[in-house]
Amino acid sequence: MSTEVSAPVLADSSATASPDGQAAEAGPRWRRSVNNRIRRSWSGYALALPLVVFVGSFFLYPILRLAWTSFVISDAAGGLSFTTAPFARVFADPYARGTVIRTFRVALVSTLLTLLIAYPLTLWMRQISAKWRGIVTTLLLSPLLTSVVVRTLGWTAILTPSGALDQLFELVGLKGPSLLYTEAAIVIGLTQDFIGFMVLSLMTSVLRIPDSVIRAAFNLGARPLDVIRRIVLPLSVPGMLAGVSIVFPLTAGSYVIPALLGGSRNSTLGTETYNQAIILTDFPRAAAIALVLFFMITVVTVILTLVTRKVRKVIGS
Amino acid sequence: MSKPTSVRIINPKVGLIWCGAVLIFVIAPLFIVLAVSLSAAKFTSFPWDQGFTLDWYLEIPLDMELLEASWHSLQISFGAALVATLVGTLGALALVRHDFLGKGVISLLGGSPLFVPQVMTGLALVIGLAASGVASGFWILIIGHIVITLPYVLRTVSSTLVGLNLNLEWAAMNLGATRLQTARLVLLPQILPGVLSGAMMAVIVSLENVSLSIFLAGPSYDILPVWLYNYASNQFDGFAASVSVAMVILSLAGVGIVQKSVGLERIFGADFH
Repeated sequence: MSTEVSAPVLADSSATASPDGQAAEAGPRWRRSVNNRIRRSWSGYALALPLVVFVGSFFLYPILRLAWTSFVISDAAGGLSFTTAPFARVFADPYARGTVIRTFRVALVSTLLTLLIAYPLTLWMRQISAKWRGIVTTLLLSPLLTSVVVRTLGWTAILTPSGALDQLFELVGLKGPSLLYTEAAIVIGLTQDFIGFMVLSLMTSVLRIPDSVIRAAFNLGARPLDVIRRIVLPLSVPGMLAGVSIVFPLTAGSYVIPALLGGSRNSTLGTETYNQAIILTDFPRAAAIALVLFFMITVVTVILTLVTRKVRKVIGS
Repeated sequence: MSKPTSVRIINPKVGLIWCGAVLIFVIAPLFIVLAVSLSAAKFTSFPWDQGFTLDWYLEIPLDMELLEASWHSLQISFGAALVATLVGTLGALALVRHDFLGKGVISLLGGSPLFVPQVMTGLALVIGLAASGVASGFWILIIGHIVITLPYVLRTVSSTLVGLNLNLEWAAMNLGATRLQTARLVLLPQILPGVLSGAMMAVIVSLENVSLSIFLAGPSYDILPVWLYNYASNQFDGFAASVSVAMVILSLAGVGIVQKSVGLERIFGADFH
């Protein structure tokens, strides 16, 4: 009995001979039958048990408690009742409403900016050698391995009144914009932070476009801009959607960048969650704000997933 | 023997300039921090006509609060990375090498901390564990850091496992090795680089984290990134900058190791299943 449990085989890894995981289950029939027997074994559960217990009790349970805190109120008699009052309060309060709208606006603008900046870069990276592509990717990602505080402090020095940017303006005789503690500063910080993620997502799509298709278009007399607009751009839509669905949640949920670059006047749902919870210790309200943030991210992600599914059907990949 | 590069769509010169501009945009702020850390001026002003100094760096070993927070950070990060690596490696083995009912749900659960904003995770841990007195100080921080680093370990180890050649293990079993012997002598040496990279990734993610930690750390038990954030939100001077640079230099050493063994793009990449 023990031998069938002990065989260290798995169907998945033998099937991933091709990079895009398209290959079907390979191998002789006897091996597959062994695999099928292993599937019914308990060792998978045993190996996953610590993960399930840990994430269940230290992540899932606290998250549910958070939702409970904002949805359920207990009265003096100990009875429980469902409430949406914390949410109603968030949307009734013009300040909190402004925070919701600002968070969405800032996240949307910085996500689109990363896309606009990263896309031409990715197209160029497609046509350089793999070695240089690796070097550029590493350089792009290297700031991510420093603390977000460090990255943001650099912007503080650049954007502060009479900081590096203002001095650059004065050099050509203009008045500097003194961007620190504005929404623009938050957008700049977020855009810098997440360009690397966008490039990675776009790259998977852009590298997959076959050269033959582009070459054919050129041979038939298409100009570079036509090739981009009518061939490359449509084929890289899945990569764009993937990038947006990675970057948008990160920008919307960020804390340090809006706190340090936006100042107290430009609160976002991230900074507001912290202020309500830690400074004002109003847990139900903090939980409601965190949940509004979570819903915003979830709705955007679901929409993007649905659009991606539709696009993939059209492109046929 | 070199493979011909792809068809050109972008003018190479334009592309190179664009790439340079993006890299400057992405990396320049870090150099500004370096410049501020070396500036003799009391406040961050430009240009640095007051000369350069290493004085800020010499103050680092004198700040007891900072040193204590750094020591806590090391304990939290390496402790969290150790647990996350153990739990995550076993989880990755289960998810890549076994098929069972509920596998999809468990896979989703393991990656889920990445899909919830860290401020929400932090608040949830405060409400669920800290407010009811289950854990505080060191324990709540290490729990939080294990939760957010687990998905990275899962991802790194999974990607190592997926590319593994199974024939070696089949051969070992055929020659009579027990399951444990095969795991220890054949499987482990093969996945060790991936496991270590996952651990290193966990250390880095933990060491730089602020969004989650700021909910869990406090004056009684502070850690380095939170200390730096709190200091810098009051004033950004050469001291904050020099601490930042010291942190960057330390994490660069780690990055080198990760990049050598796995590659950053595989860790940050979106192809997690």
